[in-house]
Amino acid sequence: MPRILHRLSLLALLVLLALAGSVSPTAAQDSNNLLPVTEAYKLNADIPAPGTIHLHWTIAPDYYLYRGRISAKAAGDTVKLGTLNLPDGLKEHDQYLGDVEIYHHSIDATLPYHRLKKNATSFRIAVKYQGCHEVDPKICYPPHTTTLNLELPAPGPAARSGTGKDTFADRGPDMGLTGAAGGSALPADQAFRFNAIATAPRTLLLRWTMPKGYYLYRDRTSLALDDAGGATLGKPKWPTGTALHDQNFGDSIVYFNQVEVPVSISGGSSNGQHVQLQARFQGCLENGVCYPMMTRTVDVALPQSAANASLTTAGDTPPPALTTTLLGALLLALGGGLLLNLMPCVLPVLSLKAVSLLEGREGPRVARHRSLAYTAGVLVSFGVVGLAVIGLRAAGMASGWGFQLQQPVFVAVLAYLLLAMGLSYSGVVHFGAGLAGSGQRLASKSGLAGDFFTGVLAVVVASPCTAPAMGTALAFAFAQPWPYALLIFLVLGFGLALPFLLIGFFPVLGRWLPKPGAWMETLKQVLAFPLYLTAAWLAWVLANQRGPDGVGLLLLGAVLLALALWWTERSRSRGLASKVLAGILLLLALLPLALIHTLPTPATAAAHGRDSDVVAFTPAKLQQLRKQGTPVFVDMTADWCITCKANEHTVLDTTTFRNLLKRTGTVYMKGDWTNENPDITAFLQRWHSPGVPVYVVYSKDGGPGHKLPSVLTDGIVRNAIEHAAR
Amino acid sequence: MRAPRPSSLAWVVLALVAGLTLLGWNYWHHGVPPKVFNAMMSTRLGNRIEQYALKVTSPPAPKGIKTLGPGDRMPDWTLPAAQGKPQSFAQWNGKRVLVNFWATWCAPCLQEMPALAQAQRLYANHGVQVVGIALDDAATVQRFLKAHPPAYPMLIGSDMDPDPLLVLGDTRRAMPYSVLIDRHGRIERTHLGPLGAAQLAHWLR
Repeated sequence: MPRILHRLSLLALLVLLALAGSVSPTAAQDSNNLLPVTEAYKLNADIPAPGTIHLHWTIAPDYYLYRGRISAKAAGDTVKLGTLNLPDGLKEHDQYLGDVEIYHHSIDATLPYHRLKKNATSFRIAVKYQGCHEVDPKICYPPHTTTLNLELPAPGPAARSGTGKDTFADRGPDMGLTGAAGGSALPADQAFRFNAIATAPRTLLLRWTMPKGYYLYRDRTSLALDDAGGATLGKPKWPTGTALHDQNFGDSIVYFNQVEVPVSISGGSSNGQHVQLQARFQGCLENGVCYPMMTRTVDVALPQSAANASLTTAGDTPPPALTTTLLGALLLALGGGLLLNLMPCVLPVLSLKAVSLLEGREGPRVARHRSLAYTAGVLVSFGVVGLAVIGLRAAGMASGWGFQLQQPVFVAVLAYLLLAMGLSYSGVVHFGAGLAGSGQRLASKSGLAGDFFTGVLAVVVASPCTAPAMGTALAFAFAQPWPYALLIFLVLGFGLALPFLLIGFFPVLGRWLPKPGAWMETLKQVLAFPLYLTAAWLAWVLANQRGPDGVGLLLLGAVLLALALWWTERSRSRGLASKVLAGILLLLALLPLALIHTLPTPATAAAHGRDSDVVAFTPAKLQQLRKQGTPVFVDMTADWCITCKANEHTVLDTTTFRNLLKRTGTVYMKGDWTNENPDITAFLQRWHSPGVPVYVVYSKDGGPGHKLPSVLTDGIVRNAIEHAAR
Repeated sequence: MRAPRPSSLAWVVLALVAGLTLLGWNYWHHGVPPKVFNAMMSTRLGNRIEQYALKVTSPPAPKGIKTLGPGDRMPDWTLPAAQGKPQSFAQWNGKRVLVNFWATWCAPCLQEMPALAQAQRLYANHGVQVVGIALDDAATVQRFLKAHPPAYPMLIGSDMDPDPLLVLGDTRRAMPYSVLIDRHGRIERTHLGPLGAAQLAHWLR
């Protein structure tokens, strides 16, 4: 009887878990989190042709609007409105309301208007509507009135093109200047400022500058040279942009605030020539107006020789070119790799490897093979990461070491991995014979494969760490042709694998290790806890990337994973059905990963606003502060960057540092690279850094910035800031 | 009775998990069907979760308006009645008063009215008084009430400033909204959305 009870309770648990997985957060959001009126019913308006206003409502699922309760009237006496033309809705009979007509999903209505004032450029209308929510809780919203600001189209298209160099030939009905609810858009030549200069005889740097909220489409930009004497433009090197979904072009890559794009010129006569660059581009104001195709032509003087070329245009003198030689870089890479062994994110794997080596003391041959397998694992994965980084950089997408941690799914997978390893150390589950199995089968193939994957694992968990010497080596790598860059990556890997390679090949060293015994089981169980700790830390990183929903899903997934692994262990001696069940449970545990991927990025404002005396990094703000002659301390950080956190703990979050800032009047500017940010990536590139942390101090006199080492001490920071404020 | 063999039990569990996964997958993509969702939310537990979630996610009240919640004393309002003289809440002192906000354009409000009328009939001798407050213009309300004679007093709240819905904690100003006031004139509980007969019985018996 108790056995049956036991089984029944297990069954109930499974049902509950399945239910927990099946109630989607979106469904819960729809019903338990009533939308505000303006989100349940989104209203847009534009004027597709003079004389007619087009009104469009987007109605959220499970909400509806009443036809009889929609009305519009003009605010002011600029225009006179005609009657509103609404489409036919769904006709329903209600025992109390009688016959009603309701709308789901969307409404497209037209509203004729008659212009009363000749010179007016815009007018306002007030639209009133009322609707209800049709699933539990069934409620109705009070009548809502939205005031829309609409721009009157110019009498003729010619009147428009008088301003600036823009031509408006491509003006289509869908891309017309549309009136947005409550905001007025700037004229195109004020909203999108375009400029181009030559940074080298054969290189142009294009720059678009936009006010806050405006954005430029990457893939709707075209460039051409006018009468350039045979010269042609290369492919523009776009920096990392922001992925945006909008109603005009669907998913696209866009740029906010400012974007700088280098383009090379080939062919034509070489020196001292002028080129006419014609740029055609398109952009929008967030949640509002989109501009028609803009065309700008600028005249660029190409410098005589390389000596004249400088990057002063960026308002910023970059640091002198790297002086590191290849040999120096390789040595630094080796040192960096060695240091990586001691970084807190690699330590759990290091301890794992230690256990594995302690268990495997069966002779020099086996030890040698095992350490070679481990080294191969490390080198192969470093090679893969290196090639990926190089490839992505060439495509203008990724930015440097640690970029993979900007992907929440990667963070979640890493957390799963560490949890699984921790559980195996705790004895909940046993993975094969390789890592934690009995010592007899170590020389077998699976043992070597296990060592290989330990190496892979070491590299995967090492990704959040940039060892101090590694930064310089990687920076050098990125400035080199790809074979050198790859070589540096491989040497880094070699550095990481070196300690175990030495132990494997020089058994003398191995003799210093204590003799295996029962204490090893205890050690293994103790070592589970750093792994759990690392998983907890990754959950925190995810909290900053995707908010509480992300963490919730991760924790749910973690519990499912634990359940699946526990059942896997139990099903070892059972039938096929039991094994299939274990597989299904594992798959179920992977489901939250897919969901984490679909979560939106929460607003970053909260992260920046935590400290009142910290200024969030934007290029414009930095420029402004430097113009004012304020010393600035720029800190580029990310939540997944251990070195950054260590520096914050020892130096930057202390009262000493705060007092220093106060005393010298220095502004502390912080850039958060936890999620991708093109501005910060551009800044990192300017300072030849492949990743974070980067610390730059700008002095009072407006001189070039001074980059600090990546590991800070009070003394270094004090000297730099005091010098800058002098 | 013989206990099932472990392997056959595992098959049952397997089938169950597969079925539930399919169901969950379907719900995830197409949402929980409204009927199932409504049924889940009309259970006592579901309802409690729903009302809690609504409370937590409600927007803040506009500046300068103090909202009342459970435990607060109900203000002594005097409101114009749909038919006849203005009515004061003081007349119902010592009774449990269920205040229900509605409007003629609010379909769910109208659909819950029969349940409220029935509750008034059933629980009148338990010291319960249902009071409707219409947030609509008086003429429309009177026309509606002529066609559907009310079973309990109907007041007009649309001229009140600040909005009585805001004062009683419905910062969305969504309807129907009900407030239960205890015998001592303190707010006992609030509810956004229509009330059903079962729920009213649970509240008022």
